[in-house]
Amino acid sequence: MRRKILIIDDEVDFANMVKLNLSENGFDVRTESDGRSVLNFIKEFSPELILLDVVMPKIDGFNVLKILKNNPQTMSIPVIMLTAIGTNDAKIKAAGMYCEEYVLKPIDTEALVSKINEVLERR
Amino acid sequence: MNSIYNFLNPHLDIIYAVYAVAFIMLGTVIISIPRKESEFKFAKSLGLLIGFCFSHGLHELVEMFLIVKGPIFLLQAADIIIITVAFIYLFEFGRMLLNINKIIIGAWMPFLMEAAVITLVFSTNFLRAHIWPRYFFALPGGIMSGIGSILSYLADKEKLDKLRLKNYFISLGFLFCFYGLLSGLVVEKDSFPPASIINTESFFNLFNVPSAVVRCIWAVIITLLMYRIMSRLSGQIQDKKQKMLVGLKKAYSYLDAIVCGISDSLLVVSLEGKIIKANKTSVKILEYENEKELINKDISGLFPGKLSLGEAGLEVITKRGGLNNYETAFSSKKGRLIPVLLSIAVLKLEDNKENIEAGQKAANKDNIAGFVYVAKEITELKRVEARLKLAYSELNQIFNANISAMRVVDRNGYVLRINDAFAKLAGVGKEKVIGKKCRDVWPEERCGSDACVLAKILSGAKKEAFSLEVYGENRQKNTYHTVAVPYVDAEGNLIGMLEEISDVTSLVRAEEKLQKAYQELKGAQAGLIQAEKMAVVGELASGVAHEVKNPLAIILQGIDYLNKKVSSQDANIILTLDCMNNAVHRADGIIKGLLDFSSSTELDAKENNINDTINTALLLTSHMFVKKRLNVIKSLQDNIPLVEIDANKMEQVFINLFLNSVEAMPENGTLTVRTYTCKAAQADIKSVVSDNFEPKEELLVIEISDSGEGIPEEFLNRIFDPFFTTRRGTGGTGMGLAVVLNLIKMHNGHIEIGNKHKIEGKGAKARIFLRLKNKKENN
Repeated sequence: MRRKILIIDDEVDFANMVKLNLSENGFDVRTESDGRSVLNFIKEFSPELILLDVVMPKIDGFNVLKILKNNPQTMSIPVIMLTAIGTNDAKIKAAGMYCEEYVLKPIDTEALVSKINEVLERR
Repeated sequence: MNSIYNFLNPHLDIIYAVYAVAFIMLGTVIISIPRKESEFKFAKSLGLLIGFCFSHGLHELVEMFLIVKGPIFLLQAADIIIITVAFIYLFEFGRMLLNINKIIIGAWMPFLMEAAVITLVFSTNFLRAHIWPRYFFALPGGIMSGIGSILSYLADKEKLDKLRLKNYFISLGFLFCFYGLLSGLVVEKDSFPPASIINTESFFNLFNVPSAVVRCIWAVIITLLMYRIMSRLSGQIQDKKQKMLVGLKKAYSYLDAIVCGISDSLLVVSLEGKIIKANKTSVKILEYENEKELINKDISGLFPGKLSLGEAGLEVITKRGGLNNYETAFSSKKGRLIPVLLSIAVLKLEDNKENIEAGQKAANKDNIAGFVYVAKEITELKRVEARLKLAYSELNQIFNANISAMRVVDRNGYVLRINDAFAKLAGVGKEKVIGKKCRDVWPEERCGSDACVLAKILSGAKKEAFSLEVYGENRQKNTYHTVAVPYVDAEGNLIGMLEEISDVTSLVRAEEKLQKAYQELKGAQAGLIQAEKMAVVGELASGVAHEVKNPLAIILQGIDYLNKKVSSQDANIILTLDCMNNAVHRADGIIKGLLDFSSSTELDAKENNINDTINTALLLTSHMFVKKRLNVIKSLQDNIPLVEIDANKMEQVFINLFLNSVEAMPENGTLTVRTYTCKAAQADIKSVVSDNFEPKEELLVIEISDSGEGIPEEFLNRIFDPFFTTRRGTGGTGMGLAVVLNLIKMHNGHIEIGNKHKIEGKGAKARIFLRLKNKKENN
């Protein structure tokens, strides 16, 4: 069974490329560019893991994370922050909001896949 | 004949009276003319003639009296004496005339005559005794007078001719002769010859005229003649007097003009100290209206107070015979002080009887008549002198106040003058230097050589300037700047040189300091520029990083996808994708470095043991050391003091430095890490930043050295520049050391990176200096 991964990133091209590569690695991937209706996507798609960008125009990654972790139905879904923001502050903030992993762009597909598997196996 | 006698005989008294009057008149006439002034020699003898005239006149009066009153014995006796005296006068007159005219008859003759007369008078009838004076005196006297008159005429012929007196003199000569014969031979009848033959009776018998009458007529004629001569002579004398007077007046007016005209003040002062005469200059200088105001003023009133003549009172001046150029002052009428140069001459009168006779008696034995004061006004002189003094004083003050040492040297190299600064510089007394040779006072290398400054100035150089370095007693180098210029007199003649020596040691030192400060400033500026550059880079990096990372991420994902999908048989495609993959990672590394650099803005400093931090960093990089089989030698000081550091950031510092060393070393290389504390002064800090540390401040030093090739000299200045790297192709971003420098600066520390000393072998060496200000002993 293909594991479902939701990518929320305003960089549509990046999301599509990741989707392509993850699909090659046997994942079922859906991409979204606006995090505001994240709960709807989850309802529709029921992802097992979410790759979340931080810097987005309409709602940033931390707020999306907040929505997810504050909702009892979604709070158990592991979230990997996949972002270009590498500051310690950001990392610490994300960790404080119970994200599973913090991964910096750019990232090799190989490394990303191993991270995803790592997180999924931890469940 | 008898009738004449009858007429004359009762009137003999009248005849005698006329006779007497004639002689007395003659005497008076002669007295009336000034004989002294006469230029004629015979005038000297006229006094005797006067004596004869008056005495003979007296005799005639007595004769007349005897006729009128009858014979009186005493009168007759007196008459004999009178007539004798009268004829002696005549005799002497004649003798003197002859003497004057160089026919010398000695004084023995009258004495002889007198002796004869006296003998004969007393040996014969006394009352008839006037025969003898007539024979012995009247006869020779009259003839000598006659001859003398003619000789006198001949002696002064030219002058007397001019006065048309020739005939008078010759007539006078004959008249005197005849008078001598008449008076000397025609005597009272007596019993002995010649009186028995030639006598008044025989005369009367012969001429029928009493001899007395003839003598009377003769006397009148002589008187008239004499009167004529005397009046002519007198006129001549008057002319002469007139001329003298004119000459005198002229001389006086000359003198007056000179006295009035001279520019000096001239005062003639009487013995009593009263002003007798004052010239125009005196009136002007003393500010009086005219000379009259000054006349009769007391001279001492012209001198203010004791200023007068000082000790030299008039008595002293008199003793010294005058006063020369005595500096004093007049007090003018308006009370102003007028400085003058006073000379006083003592006015002495000629010491002769005539002056005394003339009533110009000197009041004292020195015949001093007064004083002549000659005063030269020196107000202007004084003013000029004062101005000169002021100018000199002013120049002298400027000369001495000058901080530069100055001296004036004459043509021969002798010091004429030095100022205070020079005395101080040369360490000599100001007065002792004067007259010494210039080289003895302030010797220079050039002294005695061709380069001698004085020689150059004397040969026409307008200015000579040079610097001189002198090592003082405390081995300190002093620098002097010397400028020499020609010293010229008022006419512009070169008479020496003026030398100015400035101690420019402090200037030179200041310049050196300035140079150093400038270098420091330049360094600081470079540092500021560096900091600014870094700030800009940081800002730029943080802004750009995110925007660049996303595209990089897309490219990387794309490469990954292509790697999977593209046939792996085509080696070129695989190579291409590999290169692209590397490029993306490199770009990512640069951005990462930039972000690191920009993120290092805040410190989370806590007290830490630096050795722990180093160990952590070594642990984190250990895989690299293992991979390259490198040795690590740790020489970490035990009980090292704790320092306030941000451990994470210091870790990053060490990691960056270790990575650089790893990259620089070949396999089997050695990395050495040392930590120790020492005083800043002993830390051998090269950079100018060393000034930031107190020499006594305790520092913590971390020393990291490798055994690589070391850093090429030309790169040493640039190693801290962001993006400077020599490993661009192998993943170097050029941000490593920039980040290190930034972090060390944030820790208020200092880092120096260079090559190891030659004796330590090849390789680079980094030294980090951290402050131990808030140190605590690590127990």
